[in-house]
Amino acid sequence: MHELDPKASDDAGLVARIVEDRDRRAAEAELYARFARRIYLFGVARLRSSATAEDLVQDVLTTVIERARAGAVREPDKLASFVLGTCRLLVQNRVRDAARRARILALYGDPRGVSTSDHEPADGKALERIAECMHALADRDRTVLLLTFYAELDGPAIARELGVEPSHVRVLRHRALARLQGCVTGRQEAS
Amino acid sequence: MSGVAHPSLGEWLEYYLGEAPAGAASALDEHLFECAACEAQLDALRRTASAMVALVRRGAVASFATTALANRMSRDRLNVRTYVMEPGDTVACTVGHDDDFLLGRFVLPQGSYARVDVRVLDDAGQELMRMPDIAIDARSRHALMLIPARPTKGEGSAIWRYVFSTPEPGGDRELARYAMDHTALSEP
Repeated sequence: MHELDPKASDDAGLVARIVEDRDRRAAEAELYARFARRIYLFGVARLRSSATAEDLVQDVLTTVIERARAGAVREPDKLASFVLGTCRLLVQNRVRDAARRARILALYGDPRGVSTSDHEPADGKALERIAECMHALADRDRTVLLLTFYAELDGPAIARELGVEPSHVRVLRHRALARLQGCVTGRQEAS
Repeated sequence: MSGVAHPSLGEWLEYYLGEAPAGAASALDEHLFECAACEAQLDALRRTASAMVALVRRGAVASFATTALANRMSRDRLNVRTYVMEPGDTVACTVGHDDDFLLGRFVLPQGSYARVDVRVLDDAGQELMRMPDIAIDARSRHALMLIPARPTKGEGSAIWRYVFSTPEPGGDRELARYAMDHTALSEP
């Protein structure tokens, strides 16, 4: 059992500084620092694109700060819930827009022709370490991770590729990732 | 503040991949927005995933593959030089200056195998590498081996022999042998 983020208790004070314009710029920067990465991770998980997730961070934080300035955050001590609610709402809008775009592309074709998923470059040393740990993994683990993160296949699709049960893929995938991360952080060997 | 149990790596993995059931995903959203430790864990997962993509795009990962993986490389416009080998074949192969990967597509003999192991031998029969329990492409029943082209470009001409076998109670049963007769890249 662990404690949740102790900063959450500062929420009401942070919102009050924004509403009352007391050192507002610093308060807004603190709000940004506290939530930007969480919003981004939420966006990557829901929208499957880092570029779209980056846009979501800007949209959500702009909305939240505008609402805070206007005194429209009704429960300032539940700021995290308010930010999450805003994330969910804006993701719903984006999903609806994406569905509309997909219908148009289905009618007229996608002119781009190449994969548009984007990933920020990792720094050289971290990349080198991950390469070493990938190399040290068992062959099957490496294949499963590449199918998951590079080919972006879901569990049932990987199961079809490898001729195994989807439930087995979940086990393989989790085990392979745990081994890789254990190796990267130095907690254990990859294989 | 009350104590809570953190979700497992497996739960965060399913969340990140968008495969968590709706109720679980919603609970994980809420945990993410309250927990700095889990935020860091999920971010580490994301960075690992990004690094894997970067490594493939740099032609820096050796792995057994499947048709979907090879197709994704085509969509990324990676240069993959493919050699198809039937059991017993020796193929003449090389690597071009623009190649990112060599892909050995080994056609396996008929039959079903619970597990396939591969040994790589040099021309004198010396074992260079052993790869147990490789992934087989279920659609084609081929073994697709991705070899990064960059280190191969620096190597001299050589013959690599691949021995595929399946373990059985009485010992390994050899399934097939293949060879790649590699001619070194000439200077551009």
